[in-house]
Amino acid sequence: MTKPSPLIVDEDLARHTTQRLVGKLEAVALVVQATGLTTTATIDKLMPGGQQLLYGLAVVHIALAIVVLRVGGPFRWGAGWAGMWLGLVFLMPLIMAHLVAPTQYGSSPACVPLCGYANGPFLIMAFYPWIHPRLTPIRPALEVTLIVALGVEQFLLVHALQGQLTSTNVTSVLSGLLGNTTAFLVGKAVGSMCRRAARAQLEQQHENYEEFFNFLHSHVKGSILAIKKKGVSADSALSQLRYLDEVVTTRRLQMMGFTDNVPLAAIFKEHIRRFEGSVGRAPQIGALSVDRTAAQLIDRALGDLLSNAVHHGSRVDIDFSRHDGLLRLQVSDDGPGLPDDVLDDPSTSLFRLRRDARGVGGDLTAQQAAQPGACLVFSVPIRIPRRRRSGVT
Amino acid sequence: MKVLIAEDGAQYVGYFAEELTTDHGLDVVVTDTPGEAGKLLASGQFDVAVVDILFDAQIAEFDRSARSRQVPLTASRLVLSGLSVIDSARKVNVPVAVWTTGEPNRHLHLVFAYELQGVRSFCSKQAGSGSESLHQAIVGAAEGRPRIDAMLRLFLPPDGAPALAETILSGPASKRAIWRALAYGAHSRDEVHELTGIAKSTIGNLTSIAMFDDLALFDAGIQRPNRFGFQTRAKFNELVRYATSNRAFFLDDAVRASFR
Repeated sequence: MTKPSPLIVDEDLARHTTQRLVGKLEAVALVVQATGLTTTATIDKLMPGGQQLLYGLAVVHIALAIVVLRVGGPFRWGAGWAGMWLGLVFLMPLIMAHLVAPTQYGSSPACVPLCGYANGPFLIMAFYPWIHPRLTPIRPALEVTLIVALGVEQFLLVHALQGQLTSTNVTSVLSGLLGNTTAFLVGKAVGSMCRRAARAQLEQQHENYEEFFNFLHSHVKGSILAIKKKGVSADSALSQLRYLDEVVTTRRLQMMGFTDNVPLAAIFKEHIRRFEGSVGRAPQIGALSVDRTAAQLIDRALGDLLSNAVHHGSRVDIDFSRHDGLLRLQVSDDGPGLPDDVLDDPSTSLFRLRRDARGVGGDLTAQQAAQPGACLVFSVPIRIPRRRRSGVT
Repeated sequence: MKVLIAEDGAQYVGYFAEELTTDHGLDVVVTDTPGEAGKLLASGQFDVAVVDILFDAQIAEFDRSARSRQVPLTASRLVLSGLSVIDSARKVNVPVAVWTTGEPNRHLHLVFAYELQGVRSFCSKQAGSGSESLHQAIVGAAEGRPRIDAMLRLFLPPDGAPALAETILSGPASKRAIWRALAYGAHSRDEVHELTGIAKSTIGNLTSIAMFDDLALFDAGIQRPNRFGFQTRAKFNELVRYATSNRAFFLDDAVRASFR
């Protein structure tokens, strides 16, 4: 017997969910870095050859983004590759320090040249499960150290180039660091969202398990205990088995309605099984699936029409056809026939069924049967437009 | 009449075998694995084979090894089912009665057995309360008479409906390789490419046009993406859903042998 999967948001599930949700984000980060390089090359005053170098680096980043789209990014491939990308983050301030005039570096209160280069890698570093699970406890310290180290590097560069640190220099470096920290915090928020998505999925599954467990306890276990009782009669045991059969069938039909692609033959099967001895002719339906609303209506129609037919007759024939996007179900019996106004009587289930069928573009009509007896035809679209689904009760 | 029953439902097969022997005078042999059934049929001693569609142990074994990717997609043995037993029976001209519950995940197997393996005797495990229905299916198979329980008739295609071989299983081998990759667990073009080696552009073209159209022809109820949506992605997701729901069929050894 297949074991159900455990309901735990463990590290594996969180990693898997994160990787699935944000798979291509590293390519986006590389494109953003390329944009930053191009902007800096275009706007900032650079030493001779600096513009060409930055344009060239931008092209390399675009090429890397294309590769990453195909094979996955540095963080996906592990700490070694992620380390190389983070290494570039520390290399870029050194490059920029050589490409701008010595007094220029850190002279703008906005931030140092190419301060946004680190944002993409820091954002992804914040949420992506790139570190080995065993090192998770030291991860926050590692990440903070990297951000602080970048700031320290920039301070050291300014001091090395200018021999001092002015308030403008400090503002310049700290502004850039603020942007990097913000990107990091956004990454943490993304990671939190991914974990919450995994948790929400599991909570829903937990509710479903609980509900099914209660069903097994209340109905299935209860019936089995009643059957196992000492001295229980064969009739009583058979009655319990019939009850069990009925509740399991009802449950299976409910569960079929959980998806939006319900195999029609499976719905028919559950109903025909209930009235097996009375069903004469049954159709061949094949692979046809219907949406959940159509499935609910057909389930109701089969329940009502077959119950009615079996109650009044001894043999029931079921015919089924499909034409122009409409499904047509015909149920005929050899009973005394139906009163003329049965479909117009609001107290009957057939009236409500007809009302709901018409609400979605179908219908329920009484037809003149070839032989004595009743013949009802129920029709419903294969796919019901969303705007019409809410009216079905 | 000597009858082989290939069935792993230990809770009830013994009861049915006994009733078939005592009430109907049949000589019944039971096996619970499709591999063993194939060997027994090759001995040529049986008049009819009663075949279950899916065997829990085979499915569980495949699920275990597939999850850890121990079994490659190109392995000669992936999922052994009753369809392989039917093939073995056909090789030695032993008529077959399919005996199954008729769950939705066996639906394509039933259609395959009907359309491509010529099976015309289908007995539902949920029919009646004794072995009478099964006995009738066995006799029907032996006499070459079609005998299909109402509950299983529902799953068979109506006259004139597009066949499996004309739709899902039709066309170049690359299409079927993509179906198998999707059933195996590939949920993106990249993953399908990794498993099959088929070019991503080919995967994109086949999934967004030919394969989706085949599926929509086979199952007219398949949801078509709305005009304003991301059609390619929506179609791909629909194919993933269908392949995943019917993975035991797409990875079935008999299906793979017939349609490489």
